[in-house]
Amino acid sequence: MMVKMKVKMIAGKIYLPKEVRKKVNLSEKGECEVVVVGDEIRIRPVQPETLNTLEHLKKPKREMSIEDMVEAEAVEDA
Amino acid sequence: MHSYVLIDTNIWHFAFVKPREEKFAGIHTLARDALEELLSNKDIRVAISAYQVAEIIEVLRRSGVDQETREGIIKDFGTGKFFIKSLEFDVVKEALRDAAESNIHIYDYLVAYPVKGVVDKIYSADDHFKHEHFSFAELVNPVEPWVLREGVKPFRER
Repeated sequence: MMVKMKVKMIAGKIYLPKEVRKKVNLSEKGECEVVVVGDEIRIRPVQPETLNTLEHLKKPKREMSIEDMVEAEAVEDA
Repeated sequence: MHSYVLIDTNIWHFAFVKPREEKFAGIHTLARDALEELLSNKDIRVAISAYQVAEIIEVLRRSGVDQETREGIIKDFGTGKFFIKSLEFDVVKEALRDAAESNIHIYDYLVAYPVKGVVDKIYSADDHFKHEHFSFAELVNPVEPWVLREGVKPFRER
């Protein structure tokens, strides 16, 4: 998914078209991260310091029989 | 420099749920360790189709994972660690066409095709992803030698 286009820079400000922001899930306001790689600038959503998922993974796990786990993944017919 | 990966639903499932049977317990440990490592690595971002968000949460719900945990995961999906890709009709049509050709069920396509061109690696224990339709990314099985397919008991790769 490579998108290339030219955008204008005015007084040090780069204006990102709405279609580009939408494509990368960047909101119109708020913070984002800027990563400089060589002579390129990458903009991405702010990376979280921690995740709920990592905390939940440390907690005791629910146990199920393998049959029940298989059934949970199986797609039921209508 | 960061890279994007896809983590298949079966890895999420085994990371959060532990099989009672001792012989399958190792899958749980391997899946949990892989998920922890991928989510902790700041150089890795996880690309997920909007379809897979629903699939992961629904599978965890059906496995009895509590609502608080599920809501915490959904909240994480909204952070910059994850790139959520919408499911578009053109992708669904492509998925339907290729699923009919390969006879692999549509759901694997709906997980992978929306993030085609975005991800470098697919972390999955489902050997359906070895099909040439998914060759756009490197396949990594973090629970090797186990193979996991929907609706089938885990088995060891021959």
